[in-house]
Amino acid sequence: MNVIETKDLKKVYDESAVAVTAVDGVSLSFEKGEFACLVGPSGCGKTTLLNMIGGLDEPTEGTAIVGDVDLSELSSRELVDFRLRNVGFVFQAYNLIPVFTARENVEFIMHMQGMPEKERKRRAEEVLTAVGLGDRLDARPSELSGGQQQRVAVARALAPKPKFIIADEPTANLDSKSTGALLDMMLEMNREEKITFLFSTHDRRVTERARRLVTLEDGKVAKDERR
Amino acid sequence: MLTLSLAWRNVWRNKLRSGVVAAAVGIGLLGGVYSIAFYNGMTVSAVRDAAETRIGDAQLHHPKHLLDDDPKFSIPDADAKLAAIGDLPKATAAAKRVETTAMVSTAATGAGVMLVGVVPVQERAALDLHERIVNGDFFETKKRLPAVVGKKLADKLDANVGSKIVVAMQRLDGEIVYAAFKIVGVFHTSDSRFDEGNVFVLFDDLCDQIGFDPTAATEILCSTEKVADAKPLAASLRRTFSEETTNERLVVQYWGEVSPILEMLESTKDQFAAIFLFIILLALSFGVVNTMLMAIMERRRELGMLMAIGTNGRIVFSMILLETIFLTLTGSAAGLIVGYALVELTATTGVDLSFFGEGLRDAGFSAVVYPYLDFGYYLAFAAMSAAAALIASLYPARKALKLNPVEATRVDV
Repeated sequence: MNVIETKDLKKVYDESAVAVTAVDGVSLSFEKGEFACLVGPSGCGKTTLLNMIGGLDEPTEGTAIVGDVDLSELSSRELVDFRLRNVGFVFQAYNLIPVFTARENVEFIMHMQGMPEKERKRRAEEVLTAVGLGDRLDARPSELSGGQQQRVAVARALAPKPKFIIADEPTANLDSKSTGALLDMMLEMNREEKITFLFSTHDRRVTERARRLVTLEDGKVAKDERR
Repeated sequence: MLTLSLAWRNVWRNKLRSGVVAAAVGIGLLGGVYSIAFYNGMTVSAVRDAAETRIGDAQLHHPKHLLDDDPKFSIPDADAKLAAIGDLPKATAAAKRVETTAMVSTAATGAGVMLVGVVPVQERAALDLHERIVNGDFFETKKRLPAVVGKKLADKLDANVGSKIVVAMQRLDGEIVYAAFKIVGVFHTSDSRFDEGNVFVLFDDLCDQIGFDPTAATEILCSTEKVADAKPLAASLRRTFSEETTNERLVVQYWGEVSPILEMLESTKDQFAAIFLFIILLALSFGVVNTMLMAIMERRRELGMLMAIGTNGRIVFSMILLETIFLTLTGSAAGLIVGYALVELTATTGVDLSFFGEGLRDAGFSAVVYPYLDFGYYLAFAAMSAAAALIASLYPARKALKLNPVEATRVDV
C-alpha cells in the first residue's frame, strides 16, 4: 500500500533572473514501512523533493499524494495541520527548542495536537526511553551531545505517530558512533512500528543501511534501486 | 500552558538583553510615576493650602464685590448667615470678614495691601492661618489696633512684632483716614504674594475705622472636612440662600471658582498624567519592538522549525505576543512597585525644594512637596503598560509569521 505518491512533480525557482528547475517531473511512490534514501550530488533536488512531499513547499507542477490526500488541494492552513498530524521532521541542525528539556521538546508537538497532558508526558517518556535517553528526560539541549540531540529530534518526530518521517541529512553533524546508534534506533522503529522513513543524505553510512536508494540527478530520478 | 512556559523562558534566554530592556521599561515607568506623583502632590497641596489657609472651601460675596473691592458692596446680616451655614451638614466652620484696600507704611517704605478685618475665633475654626504664625501670635496678645502681617511684607517694611505700621484707608463716606496698628504676629504661608499683599486686623477695629456696618461683611468663608466636599457645600449654600443668589444680591463660589488657576491644575492633572505616561510608553515601545525583532531574527531557524513541524500561525503569533507582553510587563511591574514604594516613602517625608528659593512660593506652591498618587493611578498605568505591550508585540509577531519555514530551516550550520 502506497503511503506517498508523487506524479510528475516539478519545482522551478524563478525568483532570480535565471529560472532554476530543482525538481523536474519526479514520479515516485513509497510504501508503508519503507526505509528509503534520496541520494545525489548537492543541488540535485533531494531537499526540495522532500519538502514538497512533506507539504513544506508547493510544487510548480504535478502532485504529491499522501495516503488519500492530494497536497496540492490543501490551503496553506490545511497544510500546516497536515504536517502536524502526518509528518515527522528530522533536520540536519537538530533544531530543538533550547529552553525546553528533552521531554518538553518531544511533548510540544503532541501539545499542539491537543493530546491531554498526562498522555503526552507518558508518550514522551516512552519514546525518549526507546531512543536511549530515558535517563536524560530533564536535560536541556545544551546539556546533550550532538548525537543525543539528534535522538531527541527523532523522538520528537516519532512521538505523535506520524504516517512518515522525513529526515534531511540527519547524520551530517554526527560522528560515526552517534550515527551508528541513531541508525540502529531508526531501523528498529521502522521494523517495530512500521514507520516509513525518507532520508536525504550524502552519508555512506546511511545509504549502506537503506533498503531503497533513489538517485537524483539534475532534478530527475536517475536510478531507483531496492535492496 | 506549555506555550506560556515557552514564551516566558524565551524572554529570559538572553538574560542581559531582556534585563536591559525590562530595566529601561521599569526605569522609564518609575520616572513617569514619580513625576506624575510629584506634580499631583504639588497640585493637591497647592489646592489644600489655598483652601485651608487663604481662601476657604467656599466663599460668599456681594456679586459686585468680585469686580470692585469697595466695601460698600457688602453682605447684610452676616451673623444670621453664619448661623445658617452652621446648620449645613458639609460646613465645619464659617468666618465673616470685612476687606478694603489700604496703604501701609513704616519709616522704611510703604506698600499697597488688602486690609482684612477678621474675627479671630471664627478664623481659627475656618482656616489654619494661625498655625502659620512664625513670630508673635494670631491676635492673642491684647493690644490696641493689633495687626498680623505676612513675613514678606514685614521684611519689605522692615518691621516685626511690636513695630507700628501706619495704615491709610478710605472710609465708606470717601474720607481718607490714617491709623497706627501694632504688629502682633507675622505669618509665613506657601504663597509669597499672599504674604506680601494682606494685612489682618480685628473685624470691629476695621469697621470702626472705615465706618462699616458691623452686622454686615464683605466676605464669608466656609470650610469643609475635605476639599472634595467644597462643591457640594457650595451647592447647599446656593440652596440655603437661594432668594439672595437668585436676586443677584449674593454669589457663592467654591475654591475652584475663586482661584481658576488652581481649578485648572486640579482638573488637568489626570490628562497630564495620561499624556506624560503615553509619551514614555510610546518611546519604550520602540525599544521593545527592536529587541523582539532582534530576537526573532536570531531565532529564525527555530521559529521556522516550529512552523515546519506544524505549529500554526495562531500559536507562533501568540508566542511572540506573550514574549513581548512578558518582557514589557516584567519591567512595568518592577517600575510600578518601586515607584509606589518611592512615592509612599516621600509622601510622608516630603521633598524639600527650598533650594529653588522663592520661585515656587511666588507661584503659590509649597517649597516642600509631598508626592501623592491614588492607587487607581497605578492600576491605570498597569493597564496602559499592558496595552502598550500588546501594541508593541503586533509588528514582531507579524514579522515572525512571515518567516518561510523552508528558508528558515535551510540556514547553514
